[in-house]
Amino acid sequence: MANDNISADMVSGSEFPFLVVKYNVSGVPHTVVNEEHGIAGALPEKDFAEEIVKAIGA
Amino acid sequence: MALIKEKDREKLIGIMKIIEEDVKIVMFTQENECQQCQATRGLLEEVAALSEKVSLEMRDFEADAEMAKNLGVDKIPATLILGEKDYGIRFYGVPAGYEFNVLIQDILDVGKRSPGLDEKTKEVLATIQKPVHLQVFISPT
Repeated sequence: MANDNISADMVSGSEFPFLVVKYNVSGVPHTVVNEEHGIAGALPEKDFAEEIVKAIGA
Repeated sequence: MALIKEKDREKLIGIMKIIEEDVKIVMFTQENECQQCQATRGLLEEVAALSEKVSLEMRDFEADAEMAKNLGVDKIPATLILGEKDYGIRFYGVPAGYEFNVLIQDILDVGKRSPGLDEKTKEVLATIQKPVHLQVFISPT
């Protein structure tokens, strides 16, 4: 909502195990950014936002 | 049987009074509903009944395949939280357990047309100028 460029899915790992395998998810929460970058664990929201920016190299 | 307990239902009705603008929940399921789709639909029907500002639109993943494609929905059960536009908020799987809190919070945020984020976080996010697709994996609780 903060930026129209961003979309966010919640994905239940148990219902979509093939995605857990595809993205190599080994623990939750685990965030996949643009299909290629992984952010493991939960972070304070500002840190999380910074990790997203870092991941996409903006 | 109600999925939301009576005590919680009353509390949620109170919380949802802060919703100012209409919120549309769109759910994609299929004709022969899987167990998870049934559970999701049952839950969403109860959620939509909590506020007159919240509506639920049911869609069929096969019959409405083009709509699903346009909305980027590639698996079911899929739950979308829309306001006057699509904010890109999706839940894949049953939004139950801890995710139920996230579902309600997202409905409130869309209902207020404002994300519940710190100003500092918004500043960081505002710098993003290309499409970002986040997929947050969770385990059901």
